[in-house]
Amino acid sequence: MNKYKPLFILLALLLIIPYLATPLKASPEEKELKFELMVLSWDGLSVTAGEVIAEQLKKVGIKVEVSALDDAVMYPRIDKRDYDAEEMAYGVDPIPTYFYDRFHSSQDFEGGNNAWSYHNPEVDKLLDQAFSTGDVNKAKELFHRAEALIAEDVPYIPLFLAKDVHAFAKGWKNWTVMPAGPISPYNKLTPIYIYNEDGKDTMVIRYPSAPEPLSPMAADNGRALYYCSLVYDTLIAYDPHLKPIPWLAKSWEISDDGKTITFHLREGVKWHDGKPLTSEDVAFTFNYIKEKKVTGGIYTVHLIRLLDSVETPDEHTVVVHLKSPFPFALHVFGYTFIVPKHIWEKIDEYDWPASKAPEYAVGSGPFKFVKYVEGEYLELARFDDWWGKKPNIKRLIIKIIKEDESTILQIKKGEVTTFRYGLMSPGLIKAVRKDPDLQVVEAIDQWDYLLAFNNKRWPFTIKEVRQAIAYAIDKKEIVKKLLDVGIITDNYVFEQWYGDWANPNVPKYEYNPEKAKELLRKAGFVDVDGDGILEYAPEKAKPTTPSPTKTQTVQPTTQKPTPTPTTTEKPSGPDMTLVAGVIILIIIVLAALWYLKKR
Amino acid sequence: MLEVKDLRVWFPARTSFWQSLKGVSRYVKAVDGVSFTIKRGEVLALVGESGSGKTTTGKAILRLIEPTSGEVWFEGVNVLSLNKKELKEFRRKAQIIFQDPFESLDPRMTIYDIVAEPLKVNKVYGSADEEYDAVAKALEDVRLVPPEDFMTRFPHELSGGQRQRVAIARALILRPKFIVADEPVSMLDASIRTQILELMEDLRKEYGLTYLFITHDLAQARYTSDRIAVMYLGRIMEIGPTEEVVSNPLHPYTKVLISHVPIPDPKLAKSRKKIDVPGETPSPIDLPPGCRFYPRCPFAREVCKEEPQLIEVEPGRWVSCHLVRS
Amino acid sequence: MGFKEYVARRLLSSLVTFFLIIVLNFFIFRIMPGDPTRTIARDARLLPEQRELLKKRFGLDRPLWDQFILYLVNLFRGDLGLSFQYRGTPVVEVILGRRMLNTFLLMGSSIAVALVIGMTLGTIAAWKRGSKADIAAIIFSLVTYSIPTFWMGMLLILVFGYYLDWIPISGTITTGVEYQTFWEYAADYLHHMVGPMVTLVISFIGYHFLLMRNSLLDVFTEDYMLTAIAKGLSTRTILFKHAMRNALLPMISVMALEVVYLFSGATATETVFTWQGLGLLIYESVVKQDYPVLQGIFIFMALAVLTANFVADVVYALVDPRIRYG
Repeated sequence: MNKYKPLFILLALLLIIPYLATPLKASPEEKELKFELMVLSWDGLSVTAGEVIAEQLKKVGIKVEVSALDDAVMYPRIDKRDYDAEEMAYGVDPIPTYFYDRFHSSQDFEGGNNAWSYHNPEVDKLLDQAFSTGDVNKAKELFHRAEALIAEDVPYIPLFLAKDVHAFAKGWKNWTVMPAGPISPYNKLTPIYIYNEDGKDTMVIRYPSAPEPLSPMAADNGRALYYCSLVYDTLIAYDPHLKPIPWLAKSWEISDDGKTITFHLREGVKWHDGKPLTSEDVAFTFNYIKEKKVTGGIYTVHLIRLLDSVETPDEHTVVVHLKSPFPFALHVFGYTFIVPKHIWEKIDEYDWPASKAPEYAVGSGPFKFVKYVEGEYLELARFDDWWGKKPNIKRLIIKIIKEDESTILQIKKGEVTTFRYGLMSPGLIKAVRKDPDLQVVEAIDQWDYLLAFNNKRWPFTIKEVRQAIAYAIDKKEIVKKLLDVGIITDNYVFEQWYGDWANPNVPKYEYNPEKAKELLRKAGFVDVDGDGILEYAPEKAKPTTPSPTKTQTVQPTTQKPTPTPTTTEKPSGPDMTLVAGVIILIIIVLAALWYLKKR
Repeated sequence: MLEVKDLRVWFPARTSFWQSLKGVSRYVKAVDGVSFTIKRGEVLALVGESGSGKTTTGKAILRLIEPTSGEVWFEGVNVLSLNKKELKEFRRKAQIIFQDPFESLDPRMTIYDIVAEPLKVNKVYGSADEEYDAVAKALEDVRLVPPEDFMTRFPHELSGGQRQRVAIARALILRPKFIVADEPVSMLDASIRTQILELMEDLRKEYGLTYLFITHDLAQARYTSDRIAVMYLGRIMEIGPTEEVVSNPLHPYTKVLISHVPIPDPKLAKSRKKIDVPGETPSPIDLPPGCRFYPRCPFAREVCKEEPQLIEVEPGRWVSCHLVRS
Repeated sequence: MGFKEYVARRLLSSLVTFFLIIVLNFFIFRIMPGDPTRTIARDARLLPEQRELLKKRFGLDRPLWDQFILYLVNLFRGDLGLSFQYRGTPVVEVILGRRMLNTFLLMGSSIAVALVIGMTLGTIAAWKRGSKADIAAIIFSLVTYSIPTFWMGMLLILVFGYYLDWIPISGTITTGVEYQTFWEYAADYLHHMVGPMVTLVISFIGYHFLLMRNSLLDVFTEDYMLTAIAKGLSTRTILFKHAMRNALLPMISVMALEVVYLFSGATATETVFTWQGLGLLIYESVVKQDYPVLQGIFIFMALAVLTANFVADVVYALVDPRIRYG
């Protein structure tokens, strides 16, 4: 083995040499059009899409270096806005509050969801108005206008919505498909209506890891929230099109100013321990969340912000007063897990450990907590005194299985019914789709993949560059490479989730590499050294010089001068890779010498 | 008592992968045709530089290493043809004392266990008391007194000289007739070497032992032995009565060896002429054809390119050299 | 230096090391950049007052020095803080209980079985070195040692779990079963343990085999092995009484190192079989950046390694008479 060590050293040297050579090619004034694209290493879709994008952009002269990073590395860089571009999935839920979080300039703080540092005062104004009105129609119109402006600016490029690919064991029937799939915290219908043709009365749902925290006030991940959606009732539920339907509340009214919501509760509703559920419990739940500044649950952040006071005129009426109107206030209060006052008034720390569940896990939902074997499974039983339609299954077991492959095998054996999260690996999806032993269900998932730019960093400070990239990307090819596990979208508000909240007429960027090249040349990019990668050279990019593009439709530039790269944060001194390369080289040589001397 | 005939011990040499593919196999010829006899009660010193094959010869005679070919006749039987049971019987009669007393004793056994083990294996005594007495006697024989002080101790607690005494006691406990002493004092301090050698001589007289005394030190050989056999690169160069060989060496190699023996008297040492030999001992893998000493021999002639035979040139004196004729 | 003093010194140095690890363990996780509340609740929308409350809940609102003192005080009271991923659950509760027991039983039995099989095979192979059986065993060991356990586990699941339906595919017990007796539970548990255990035993055997074989081959070259042969001992006596006893010494330190596995688990195997042990916990805690749990596991591991090494040192001193206390 030692004999080959010099060989390895030589190999390492060979790998270093390109690093030493590259920075010498272009002069510093003529900056190459290149950037680093971060993708999430464990997400196959993110990585593959990133690679396809890099290929596509290379064709129009943009050099993309894809780095696949772990979230522990990637997220902090995004939080600190220390990146060029990134491509991964963001999440949405039944109310498009993300539209504010992603595009309002106030959300561009460290860790804020406006990760692209998008600032447009006009958009800010529209969003402020949209999110402070109780008038849903007015809010929709403001949404449309904001989305049109955003699509013109392209702070990021929406790519596709992932498909939720679910497999069910043979014999199971009658699940409900809706956005985020048949098994999701927003889907209260599947566990009630699903049944097994062969008379099996136990449904087993696979989780990839533990369901904790079991407290509905601390539940902050999809596993915990799904468990809570089974054990705890909410005032409203969602139909397959995500429209609110009566649940604990049989009806509701919203005042004209949008500042008061009145819920009329169902009568004769019981907690799992037999005590009656009243408006007192609902009021207690809202107040508890506000007082304790609870971090779990689905819309609690908005609830804490909006709640002014709760009134309980009688046992079955709850009147909620808001501090300010909010177009999604019904969802915020309606889709909150209601907890029993007689148990929770004793609970000081809302994030209690799972070992407390036998005592604390009392809800009013269709299933009640039976037991939790740490790390193994969570057993629920049908609550026979539930107010609604009796579920067809008698038991619901949440089983923890780490591996997707093992899960599929157990579904084929009939030991497991289905799983909580849709499959992520394209290879496995391909295998599952053609497996005759499985029933495959595909729905729109809640993960939207996007290509984000750091709008504060050159070259993304230039709008034409962002637009050119939008034209240069062929989303059809990306989705095809991903075995069709995504649904292409050009919208920033998704029609598939939010219906007419989405603007049907946003500017679309159809795949057009010629147009992309033209836009880049207008922005001052031209291939100076003939290596296929464009450089920023505004003088040479003037239409008077012979242009390499065939299209003669280019108009003389009347655009305002684009910002020069001198304002960017990139160091203009010696390239850091050169310095690093030389240091590594020296270290390797020293190590080799030391090693040889030792021998 | 012991006759060694044309003993050969060849070890397969490590060859390169490529050579083994081509079917080339090579051997280290550690012992390559050694013949000699030892008479009852005699001490034969086997002398040679390191790598000459003298230790291998000693071990091969006792079948601690399996010889490649040859014969070893001990009291009328060929040792090399003994079966397991007969071999066990043979080991009662022929024993060995190793060079390094630091390594030859099992570090995890007490002195008593080390010395008593041969008794146990051969079921010499029926009772523990008899065995104890025998061990005590053996330790007294090698002057480890009082024996009780040593029995419960471990080898690492003893000095080198004490350990070698234990090794001797262990070797002698079954009352063997023949002992191979493989450089028994070379690892010891000079001050105790003589003590051990004297002890061995005393024991030889007491029990009527026969020794094959292996050493690289001619002075030691002269001090202890009746006859000397000189080995070089796996072959015997010269055999003869000790005094004659030392005072009148016949083989050029013996002459070189003797000229390098340190002499205590500085005057005498100055007056003597050392014979220098060029080059280094060749590897036992790539042996030169002809006389093994030929490439380095200061008296080499053309005829030396042929292999010489061990011939009795004078009564009792055998030499393997073309230049020495009776 | 006496034995007692030696033990006392080793104990003291172990304690000092442990304290240094405790200190290091605290600061390593505090050096990490970023706001820890962002790893507790990765919701960018959290209001500033919510973040403040979270910090308070996890004791992150105090100055670093206060946190350190509190950490030490709590440590001696057996309190390792609250887990991030299992929000509000004490770290001790997460680590001890089922998870530690699962890892202990799986790793303990796998190592024990692999040790026995590996060492037996190693002994046989060393004795018959160069034979076909030896070469076959070496190839088997190298192959099983280098096969990724993850892949091997998957293969076992597919063949024995799915097609043949002999073993369960995942977990430590059957879901949703009420056991009537403890034995029913134990039988179910052991049935689930077959898969991961076979995987681990196969991957551990090679290592123990090669180690034992090499250790024995080293012993075989020692002179006291020749002494043992010269004594006329039987093959079995030589092998088990002399060779094994000495070859086992290096195995003691190996076993001490393997104690770490009892606490670190085997991440790959535990993951494939969803065997909820400490290996899987470490993996998930790294992914979810659950620093308090990692900190807790490291403390347990450090404690285990130090204890095991201390015990190994003492055992070594007891069984090997050569150890000099120093």
